[in-house]
Amino acid sequence: MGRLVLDHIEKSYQGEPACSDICLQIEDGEFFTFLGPSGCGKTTILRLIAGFIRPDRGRILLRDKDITRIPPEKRSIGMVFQNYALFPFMTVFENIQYGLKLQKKPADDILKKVNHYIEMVGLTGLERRNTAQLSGGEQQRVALARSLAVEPQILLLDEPLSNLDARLRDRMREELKALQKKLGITTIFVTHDQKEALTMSDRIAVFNKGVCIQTGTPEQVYMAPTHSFVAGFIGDINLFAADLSGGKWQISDTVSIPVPGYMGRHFICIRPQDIVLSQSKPTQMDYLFQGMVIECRFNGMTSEYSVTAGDTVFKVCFVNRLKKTKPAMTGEMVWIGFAKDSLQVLEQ
Amino acid sequence: MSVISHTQSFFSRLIFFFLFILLFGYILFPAFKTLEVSLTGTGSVSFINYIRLVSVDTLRTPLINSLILGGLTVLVCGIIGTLLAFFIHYFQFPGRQIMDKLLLLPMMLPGIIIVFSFVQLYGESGLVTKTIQILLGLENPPFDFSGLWGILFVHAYTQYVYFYISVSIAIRHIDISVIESAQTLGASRLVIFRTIILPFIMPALVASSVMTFMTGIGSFTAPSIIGQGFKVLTTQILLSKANNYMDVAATQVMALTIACLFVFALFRWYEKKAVFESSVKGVRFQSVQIRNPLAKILVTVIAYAIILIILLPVLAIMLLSFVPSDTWMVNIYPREFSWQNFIDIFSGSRKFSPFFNSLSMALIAAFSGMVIALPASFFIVKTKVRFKWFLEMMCMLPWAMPASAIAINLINGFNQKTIFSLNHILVGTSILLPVGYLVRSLPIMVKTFNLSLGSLNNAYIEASQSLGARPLQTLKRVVFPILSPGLLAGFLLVFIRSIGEYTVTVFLYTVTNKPVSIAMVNAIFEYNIGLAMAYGTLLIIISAVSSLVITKLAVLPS
Repeated sequence: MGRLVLDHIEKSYQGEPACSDICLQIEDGEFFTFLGPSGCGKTTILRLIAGFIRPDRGRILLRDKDITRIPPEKRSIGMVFQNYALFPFMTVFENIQYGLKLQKKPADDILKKVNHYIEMVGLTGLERRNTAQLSGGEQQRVALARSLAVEPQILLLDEPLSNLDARLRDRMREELKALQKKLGITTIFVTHDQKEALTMSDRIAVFNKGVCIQTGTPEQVYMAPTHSFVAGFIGDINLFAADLSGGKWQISDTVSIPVPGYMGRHFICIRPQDIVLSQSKPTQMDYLFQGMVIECRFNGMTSEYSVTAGDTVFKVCFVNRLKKTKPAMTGEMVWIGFAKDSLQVLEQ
Repeated sequence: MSVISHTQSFFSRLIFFFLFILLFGYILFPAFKTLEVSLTGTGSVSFINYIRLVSVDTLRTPLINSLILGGLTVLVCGIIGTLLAFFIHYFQFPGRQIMDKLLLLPMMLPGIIIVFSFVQLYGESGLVTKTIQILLGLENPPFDFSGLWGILFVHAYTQYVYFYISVSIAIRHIDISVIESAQTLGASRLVIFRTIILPFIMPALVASSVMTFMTGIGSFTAPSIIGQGFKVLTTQILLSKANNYMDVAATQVMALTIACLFVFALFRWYEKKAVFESSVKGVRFQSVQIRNPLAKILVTVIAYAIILIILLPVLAIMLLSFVPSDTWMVNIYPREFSWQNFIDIFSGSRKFSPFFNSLSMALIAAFSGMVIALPASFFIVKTKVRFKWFLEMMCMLPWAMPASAIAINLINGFNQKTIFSLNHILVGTSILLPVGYLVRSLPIMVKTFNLSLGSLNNAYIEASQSLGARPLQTLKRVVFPILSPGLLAGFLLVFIRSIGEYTVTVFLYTVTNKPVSIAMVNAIFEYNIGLAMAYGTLLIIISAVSSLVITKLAVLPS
């Protein structure tokens, strides 16, 4: 299993940069996720690592060996595609055996290995099936077994869960993570789904417009975003542009709170779950002011409130508990409060 | 879920019944008649004709030659068509889109025109032959454009199109991520071609091989005009018929039909067994930009050379149609050009009548084809009536019958009074030839209509029904307007295929309906090449305009 280094990688298409100056180091056995909206360059980087395209600049190192100019078939990098890319004219068994046959392994070794991986991904009994006869989840497992069977140094997963329905996606997410942990294989996972990224990854790299904006553990990128894009992309957040030159944040004509030590325009962020909402004035809050409820959405586990204070609209998350009354109705005046340390200031 | 399956009205049953009788009478019944003639020619029922076909040398040689011709045609067209498909879809070069369309041209041209233009270009005193001879200072023509190789040359030009079209479609459906995943599993380019790309295009190769083999062994025009010593079944069938050995002709037709049906059955078996479907939509194959300037020039030169070869026959015919025949006897290249040949055609009724005959018979075939194919297609696609499989089978059967077989079947079927011809003998009348055209093109028409009807959303029909329209009203007010692009395309296809048709024509034409293809052949044998080429030019123009309309229609949403 190998350590992968991307060293100042750049790639552009017809003058349009797809990714610029990417520097990343992915450790042995790590589950590393490229997260970002579509068109952010994450798939381009994955394809650079796989070797389908070559970077305009920079180097790719796998276990200290420069693989930048090595063709994909000699890289020992496995990949699971978004559409699984199964060979449609082969059975499940033949699909999984494909790479092993190319390695010219002895026949009984191949048989043993194919069966081992078929069992591992839970496809026993479906060996002779045509791939078209399989469900989406089963096809996914074949694709996974096929890439794992050749025992690659790194496994690349290109949005592998996006073609599955919601319930199956949840299950596959757990299975995939468990399998990765068991095999200890270095894995790079590409997704635009922040929930997927947060639950599965050891570390996440957040991309936007071809640039890697932040790298860190799920907790780090969620709790301590270094950039407004990361803050806005991962999880729900209240993101306000504010001029902090006067040492305070002017929420409305009458309400302002002190934010000392900054000059000029910044972003202020607060997570919706960090804001307290109540009809009676709460005690022990660093900041407190009044607002009006303009919308209330029931989501099951939580309810989401939109509350205005002057021109500023706050999203507030409220956990619904049985036999606990709603804090407010639409149109009512309420108190909003939050602690000093739940407030983050980011460069604009 | 449709109009008919809900109502099963008396009216629809009546239509189905008439359709059934008509198809049986003009497709199956004549084929059975041929079988009967082949078995009873000697007076009593025996297999003697079949035994003679494989044991007598003069009868066996054409049979073997036909199979050889079919096999070699598949080989040559397979190589050319597949290479062209990869060439067009793999590289990017200027004029690629136009070339993709141009490569379909040979299929749109009547076979007889192609054969004659090839004779004028590559024959013993052809323009290309003479040019090469002069340039190289040779005493004799550099090649002999006759016999097996001449026929193969013509077949290569006309029949690569099947391979080109189907392999092109297959390439466009190759999922790039499948190729990439093979790469990550360690497959080199060569291995990828062998294990991924080849299996992907294999169904296309097999399907086109079957089509090409059937047209190859059924080919008549090229063997009859340039075949010389190379005798094949189709030309022998005409000979047997001319000598009034109808039982021998019938046996030879049966041999051809059996060979075709055998290959067709083999194909259906393969299709059931081997055809696969990718389950999730993949990333389409993208053509490669050539970086190396030298390679770019090379690819472009090759492309333009191919375009030239494709266009040359058409250009030759058009050029020669302006040459008055008596001015071009001694010179290698024509020197004088005029409108004389066209003026001759449009001023004298004797020279105009073949053109008029062809035009009207092609129209008759296309119109009557609509009347039969539209309801047939409706029953096939939109209803669940009993015996519809049989109806479809009868509609598609002529696909597996060479043109000469269709003609002989009709002769055997209607050289006596039958109930299907309302107690008339049709042989010798001018009606049998358009019937032949219709039977020959019925499968392609029904197939086109099937596609068109298949894309017609049943919700429209149901909406019309729910608003109180009767089945016929629904057909007229809702179904027909939606289908009309497909209908017109099918109509024009039959029209193009009939207007310059030669094989069925040779067997079935009479003095009263002599069509343009026969007039062309006669003109050539009278050394009136300019007139023949003028007929050819007119056919090319009609075909080109119709094809253009068809391609425009194909773009329309249905």
